[in-house]
Amino acid sequence: MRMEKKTTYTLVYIAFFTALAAAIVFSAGTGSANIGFLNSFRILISRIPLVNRLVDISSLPDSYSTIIFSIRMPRIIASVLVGTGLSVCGVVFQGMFRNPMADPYVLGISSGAVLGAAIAFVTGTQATLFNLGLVPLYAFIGAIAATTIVYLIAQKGGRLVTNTLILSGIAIGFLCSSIISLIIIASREQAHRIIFWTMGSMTGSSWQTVTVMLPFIILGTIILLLNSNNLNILSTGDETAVSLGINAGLLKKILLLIASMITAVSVCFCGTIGFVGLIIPHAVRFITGPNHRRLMPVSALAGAIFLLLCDTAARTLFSPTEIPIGVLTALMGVPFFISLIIRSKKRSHA
Amino acid sequence: MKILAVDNLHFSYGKTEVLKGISMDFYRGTFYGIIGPNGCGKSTLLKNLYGYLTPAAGKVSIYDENIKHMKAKQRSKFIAYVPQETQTGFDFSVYDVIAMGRNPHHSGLQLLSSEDHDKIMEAMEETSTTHLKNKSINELSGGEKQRAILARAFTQDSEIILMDEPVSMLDINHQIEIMDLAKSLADKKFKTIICVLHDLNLAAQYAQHIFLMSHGNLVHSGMQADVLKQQILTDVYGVSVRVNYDAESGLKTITPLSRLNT
Repeated sequence: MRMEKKTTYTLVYIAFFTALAAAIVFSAGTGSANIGFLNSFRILISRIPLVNRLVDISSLPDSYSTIIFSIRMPRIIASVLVGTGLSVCGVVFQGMFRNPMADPYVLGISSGAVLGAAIAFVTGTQATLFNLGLVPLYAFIGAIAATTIVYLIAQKGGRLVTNTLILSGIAIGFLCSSIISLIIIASREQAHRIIFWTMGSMTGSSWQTVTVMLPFIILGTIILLLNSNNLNILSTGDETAVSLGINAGLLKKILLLIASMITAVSVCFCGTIGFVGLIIPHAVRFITGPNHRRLMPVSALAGAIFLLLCDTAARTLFSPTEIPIGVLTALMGVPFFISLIIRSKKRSHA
Repeated sequence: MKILAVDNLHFSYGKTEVLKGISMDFYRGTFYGIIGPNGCGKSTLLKNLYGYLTPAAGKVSIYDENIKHMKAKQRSKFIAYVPQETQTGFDFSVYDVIAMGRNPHHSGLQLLSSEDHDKIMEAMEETSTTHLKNKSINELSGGEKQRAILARAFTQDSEIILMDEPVSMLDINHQIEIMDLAKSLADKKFKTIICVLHDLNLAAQYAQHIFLMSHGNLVHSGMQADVLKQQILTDVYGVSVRVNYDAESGLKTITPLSRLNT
């Protein structure tokens, strides 16, 4: 199944971009107000310069446009951004740590963020920043603080050792989790909100949150993509990487900083959405192989599509009740992932 | 022509001094063997030579330029490194792995040029790995893998190739195969090979010049025939040895007999 030729890859990219566009149109048309695939397509086109003259939406109710652009689009874009960010970070953490079990939360980012959010909930602060509320800010601070502590522990003695990094990530993760448990016990009325937050949700998405997320995630992703060749070499180990002309220490620091930033920004607005950053890189590796030059961009697209479809399901399946998106990523992802594992085992025995 | 010089090199892991003032010179087109008992600092020395570790004192210089002041990329144009074992965890194709040898000559963003491709194919031919091109590096046998890694070092186009016990995981057939390959690079391509070896017989067979280390010091340096001597080896390894000449092959063989009571 692995493809080698350049033309084949052009086709892969075209397929994934088309799928992403289709997923956006589908998601925009789906919901309690049933707008439909075709109408949503026409409304979306009408906002794109140059081609907008081709469609006439005057026959459609104005409310359709409002629903799509004020309610659904921010959420769609947020899902695309977070899906992209988490998947690319998953690729980077797995490559850098040479560990297929690594995901964007391996350095304690998620538990740090939840702890930050929990503190915001219980202190009941009503202050807001750019109309965003203080929960994301607290979560962001929590995420960055946890990662920084993990980093400082691993950095002790000068050289950044991968295993120490992972171990201190686990340790700080447990520490945060136990403090969160204490908070939940002490403040029962907030328990529901905290627990819900740990399962992730795109409900809070607005144009404001998108505006804050967009530059971080887009710029960060571009920087990571530019490093895909460096990541290839880094994943053969520090010693080899240095002998091939890579400043492994510096590169690891840069990748850690950028990936942590992207993850923290995603987590602080949407809670901890699990599983995406772990499975998307693995699933895409079945198509592209391990070369990060292909793995990273395809993972970015695949992650965007996957999270967008999960969120569309999350808000429509049991409407008006929302399912936490983290629950869905696992429910939809696990069977798919297991089928991939079984298939690859069959292939290697053939 | 002197290409690499080590000057009074000191290195410590924490408080343990591993290298206690080593000085060596390396010339072009020569096959060097570095031998010595376990823990004498051979591998640590090698890691200082290509800049993975930084000396606590003293210096390593290439053509009189201290490598400490060179960027990783610049150093890697001069020195390639073949580790004892390569584990990536990811199923990179043999071609992709060998192509990594071109990294020192790239900005990191460029795609492989047709010139790069030619170099890679040449290295594959040289190491008989062409047929393995699309295989995963993890599917190769130990010998095939080392050939591919040697091809990567060759693709790197560097004048010096460091090897850290490159054949200690291989059977005798593949040991000879890899060592012959390395030797031909020294002889035909005028590369400087610096090879840490465990096996004294391989050192006797391949190395022109031997550095014998013990407890972080360089205790003997010289032509193979002058260093691989009964008394010297007995003193350094603490084992009484017999050094024989095999009349038919003209090779020296070293047989350990019994441990000395120390």
